Amino acid sequence: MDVIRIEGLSKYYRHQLTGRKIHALEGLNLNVGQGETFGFLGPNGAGKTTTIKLLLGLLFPSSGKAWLFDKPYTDIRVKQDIGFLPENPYFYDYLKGEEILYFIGKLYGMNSVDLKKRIDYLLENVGLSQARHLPLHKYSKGMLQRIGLAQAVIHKPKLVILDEPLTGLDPIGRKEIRDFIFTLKDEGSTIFFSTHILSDAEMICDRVAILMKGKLAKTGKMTELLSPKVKTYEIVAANLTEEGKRALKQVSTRFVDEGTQVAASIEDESKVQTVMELIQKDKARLISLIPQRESLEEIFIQEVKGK
Amino acid sequence: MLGRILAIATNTFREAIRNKILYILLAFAMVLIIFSIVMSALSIGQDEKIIKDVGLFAITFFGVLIAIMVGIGLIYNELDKRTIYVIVSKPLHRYEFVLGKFFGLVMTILVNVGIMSAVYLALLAVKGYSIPFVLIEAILMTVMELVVVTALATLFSSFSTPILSAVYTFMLYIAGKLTDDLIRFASQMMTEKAYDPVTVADKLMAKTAISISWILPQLEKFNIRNQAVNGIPITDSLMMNTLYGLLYTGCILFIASVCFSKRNFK
Ligand SMILES: Nc1ncnc2c1ncn2[C@@H]1O[C@H](COP(=O)(O)OP(=O)(O)OP(=O)(O)O)[C@@H](O)[C@H]1O
Ligand SMILES: [Mg+2]
Repeated sequence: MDVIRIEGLSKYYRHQLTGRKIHALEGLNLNVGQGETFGFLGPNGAGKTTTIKLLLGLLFPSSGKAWLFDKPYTDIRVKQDIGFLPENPYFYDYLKGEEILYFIGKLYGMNSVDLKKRIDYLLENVGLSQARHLPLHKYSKGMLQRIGLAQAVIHKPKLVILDEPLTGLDPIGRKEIRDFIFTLKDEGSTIFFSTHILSDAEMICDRVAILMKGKLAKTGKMTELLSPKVKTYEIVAANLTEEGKRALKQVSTRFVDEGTQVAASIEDESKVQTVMELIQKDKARLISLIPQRESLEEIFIQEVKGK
Repeated sequence: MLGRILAIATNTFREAIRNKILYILLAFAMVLIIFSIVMSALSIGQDEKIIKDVGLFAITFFGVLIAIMVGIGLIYNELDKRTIYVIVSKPLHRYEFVLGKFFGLVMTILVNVGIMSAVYLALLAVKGYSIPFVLIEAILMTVMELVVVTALATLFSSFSTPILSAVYTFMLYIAGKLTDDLIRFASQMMTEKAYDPVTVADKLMAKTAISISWILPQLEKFNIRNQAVNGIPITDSLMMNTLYGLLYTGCILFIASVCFSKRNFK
C-alpha cells in the first residue's frame, strides 16, 4: 500500500494582472510508502507548498489525480489519518496554547478525556508546558512552530505532512524539532516534509524528491543520491609558523590565512597524514578536520544548473 | 458532523467575545436604553411609550450593528490570516465550516440580545410598567431578523472583503426594510392608477418588482415593535413569518456553502 500516490498532478495559477498561466506544478508523479520519511526538496517557488495544498484539498488541481491510503484524496475521511503543519503556521491568536490543541482535537472527533491527556503529553514533549495558558499572540515563531507540530500529531496520525517545519528556527529549536520528527519516525508514522534546507533532509530522510520549477527533477534513496566517497577534507589549525603555513599551502587546493588561524582544503587523502605531521612538528593546534562528502547541496545545484 | 460544527461554533463564539468592538457596542446599547428615561422625562405623558420604544429600537439597532460588524470579518479573516489552512485540512466538509461560523455568530447575538433585553425588561419592571407577552414576541421576532442579517453577513464574508461585505449587507438590510413598500407599490400599480389605464408595461414592471422582492429579505415581516408598544393588533401570522425567516436563512447558507466549497485557498 502506498500512503501517498500522485499521478500527473498539475496546477496553474493565473497572473493577477496579465492573466497569463503560471505553471506551479506540472505532471507530478510520486509515491510514498508506509513508514517512510520522505523529503520534498526544491528551491523557493518550486511548487512544494502547492503540492501539499493540493493533497489536502486546499487547492483544486488543474489536472491529475492523487490517492492517500489508496483512497481518492478528495474523500474527507482520509484526513482523519493525516496531520498537517502549514508553512509559517497561523493560528487563532486569541486562543491559548492548550485551547488551540483542544479545538483541533475536537475537529478530529476526539473525546475530551483522551484529548486532555494527549494535550498534557504533547505540551510536555514540545517543551511548551509553561506556555499552555499563554495566548498564541504572545508566542514566538519557534513556539508557534512547536504548537503547530503538536496540533499536527494530536490524533496520532499515520501520515504527517510538514511544510518547512525547520525554517526560521535557531539551531537549538531545529535540533528539538528534528528530535521530535525522529520520535514520530520511531513510532512508525509516515512523514512527508518539504524543505529547501538540504542538510535537514540529509539528516532526517530515507528518500527524497527534488522539485524544480514545478517538475520532478530527481527522486531516490538518500544513500543512492549521496556517494559515500569523501571529496575533500576541511582543515582548520591555529598557531602555525610562517614556514608551516607555506608548506600547508603547497598541499592544499584552497588556503585561507587569517593570522593565527588558517583554513585549508585538501583533496588527496594521502596528504592528510603529511599535514598532521606538519602541525605536530610546528607544535600548532588542530582545531578541526572535517571530511566532506558530496552533499545534497551539490546535487541540488547541479540540477538547477542543468535546467 | 454536529460535533465539528459545534467545535467551530464555540470557537467562533470565543473569538467574538474576545473582540473589543462587541463590548463597545453593548455599552452604547445600555447607555441608550437607560438614557430613554431622560428622553421620556422631556415628553409629556408619553413616558411609557418612549421608554418601551427606545429600548426596542436600541436592541434592534445594536443587534444589527453587532451582526454586521462581527459577521463581515467572520470567514474573510480566516482566509486573510490563513488560519483556514489548519481547518480545511481536517476531516470536515466545507459546509460544516460555514455552518459552524454562522451558528457561532448566532450564539454571540443571542447572548448580546439576551443581555440587552434583560436590562430593558428590568428597567420596565423598575418603572412599574406592564410587560405584555407581545413585547417578548417583538424581541423574539427581532432575533429572527438578526439571524437573517447574520446569514447575509456570512454569505458576503465567504467571498468578499470586510468593508465590501459591510456595504453589501447594509444595503441589503435597507432594501429588506423597503421590500414591503415595494410590494405595496407594485400591487397598486397592477390594480389602480389615478388616470391612465393599466398598461402591459406597467404590469411587467410590477411583476419585476415583485420578483425582486422575492429575492430580497422581507425584513418588515419580523418587525412588530410598533404594534407591541402601541397595542395595535397584529394581523400577520408570526408562525408563517418565522418559517419564512428560517427558509430564507437556509437558502442563504446553502449559497454561502456552495460558494465556499469551490474556493481555492492560495
Ligand atoms: N496565489 C498564487 N498566484 C499566482 N502564483 C502563485 C500563487 N501561489 C503560488 N504561485 C506560484 O506558484 C509557484 C510555486 O509556489 P509554491 O508556493 O508552491 O512554492 P514552494 O516550493 O512552496 O516555495 P517556497 O520554498 O518559497 O515555499 C511559484 O512560482 C509561485 O510564484
Ligand atoms: Mg512553500
